[in-house]
Amino acid sequence: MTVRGSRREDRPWPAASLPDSYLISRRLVTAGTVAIIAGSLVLFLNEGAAGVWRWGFDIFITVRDWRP
Amino acid sequence: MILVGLYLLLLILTFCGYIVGLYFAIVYAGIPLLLLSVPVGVSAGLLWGAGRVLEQWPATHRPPQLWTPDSEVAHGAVDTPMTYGVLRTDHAWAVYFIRQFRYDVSRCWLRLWSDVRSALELAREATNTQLLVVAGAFPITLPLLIMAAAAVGGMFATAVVMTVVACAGWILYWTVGMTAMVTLRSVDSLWRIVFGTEASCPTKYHVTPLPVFRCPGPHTDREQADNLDLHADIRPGRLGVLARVCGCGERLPTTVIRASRILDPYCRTCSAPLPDRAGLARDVRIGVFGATSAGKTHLLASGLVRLYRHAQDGKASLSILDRRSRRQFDELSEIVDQGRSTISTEAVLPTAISLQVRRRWQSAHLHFFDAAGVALADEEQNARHSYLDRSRTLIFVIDPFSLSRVRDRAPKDLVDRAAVARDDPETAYRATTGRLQRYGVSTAKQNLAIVVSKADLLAEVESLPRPHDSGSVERWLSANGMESLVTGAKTDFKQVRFFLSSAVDVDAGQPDAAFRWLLRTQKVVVE
Repeated sequence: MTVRGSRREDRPWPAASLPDSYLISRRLVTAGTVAIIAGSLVLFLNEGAAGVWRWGFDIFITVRDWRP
Repeated sequence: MILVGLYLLLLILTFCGYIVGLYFAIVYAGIPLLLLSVPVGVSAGLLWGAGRVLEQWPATHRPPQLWTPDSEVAHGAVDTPMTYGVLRTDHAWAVYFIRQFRYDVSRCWLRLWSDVRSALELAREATNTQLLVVAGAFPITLPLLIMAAAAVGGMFATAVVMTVVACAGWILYWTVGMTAMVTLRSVDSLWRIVFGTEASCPTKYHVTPLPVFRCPGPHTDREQADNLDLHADIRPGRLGVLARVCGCGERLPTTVIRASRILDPYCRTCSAPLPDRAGLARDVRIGVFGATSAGKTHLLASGLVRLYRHAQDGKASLSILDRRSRRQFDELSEIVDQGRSTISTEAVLPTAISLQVRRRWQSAHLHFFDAAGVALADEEQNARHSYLDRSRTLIFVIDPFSLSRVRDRAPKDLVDRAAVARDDPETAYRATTGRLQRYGVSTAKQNLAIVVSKADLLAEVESLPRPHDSGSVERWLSANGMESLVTGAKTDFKQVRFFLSSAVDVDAGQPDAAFRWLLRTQKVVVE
């Protein structure tokens, strides 16, 4: 089995000697991590940050309109 | 006085201005910045961390720390206790989730920690020189500080996510992988139990269900000299579940069933080459013993040659496994074809004559051992004949002329022609069975064929017992003073049958009958 786009003979040493299972596993871990981070970021900006924005905006208006 | 008053007024005005400015800075800059700081900081930290994780995506990326086959050999856990005298694991790449994932995860943590330290260093240098300005402008600097802290949190969140993902892979390996591993190992064991497969060394007599396999990939002379191309434990494990990658990059199948089909097997103790498909085929070892000149070699020669030639006409195909066996078989064929007498077998350890039987989809390896009677009679020498321990089938050859009652009835010239065995059968039998029992071999699990040889000469003395009737031969032996041997054999062994054999006259006794019976007890049919 060869990782697409990175045939064994194309890879310089010592990556050339790395087994495909290492590359596949490493890429699975990388892809899994990046996918979770991207998902979390979207959720955070979409949901969490929106809440923070609304809450913060209320504070901003309160502080701005405050008069002694 | 006026100047002091003006100075105080200026001071108050400045302070009031600062307070008013501070109010506007907090309201219009501080709070919006504060609101932005956490999402922007966290997002920046996560993206930075993701970038660090993605650095290891390219196939050319080489981790600074790598668990190679050399590391495996140097530090890996030893699955197989003894491998041709060397205590080590095989030279192959371990599964990623055994060790390498830890290196990759820790590298990610270290890279991010190094980034944070660099950022802290920069911040420290900046605040050292402009501390007052930084402190005075806290509506701006505080949100920036919070943003930086959020970014650091985001970066380490990435590392935590990577650790969790890698640990999930590790758990998956230890659950799914272990299940597959146990299943495949069980299939291997089941195959061995059902089909009686083993690999036996024809020279050192070592028997193992797990032969050593040689990797066919490119190996340097040095690697070959260090036996790094040999895989002592091909079973699924830390080096791979379905397949493993040898240190040379060659992909090898796991499990003995699959490896035996394509790889060359070798002996575990002496790394001598074993027959093809050793470990996959049923393995039957037949040891022949008896007194010197009892007719062991003649029985083996005529029995094997007859077995081989008759098999060519039947459904089973019989072939000779290796060149050494071919040479020995050719010598035995010559003896049979030319009707020559055999010379006494040399008192050296015998090498097996190995044949392969194929019948339909089944195959079996047959190993025949012919030892010198002199060596077997000697307690010190017979200790080294360990093939007897591992044979589930044995043949004991009795020279009828070594029985005093037969000798008394026979004419003297016939006795001279018969080249009577040196020891009496009782002594020869006790020497070998005693040796087996001394070494803790359970003879109750072995089958024994007792063959009365030289039947053609015996026919000149008296009417023979029926050759195909085990009971008839047994009664004849008992009647000629062998009651205790017959009774002892039936007590010692699992199954015992009696045969008459003649290398010259097959009507007097077929020399291959004992072999056929013993092979049938091992579920091997050569017809």
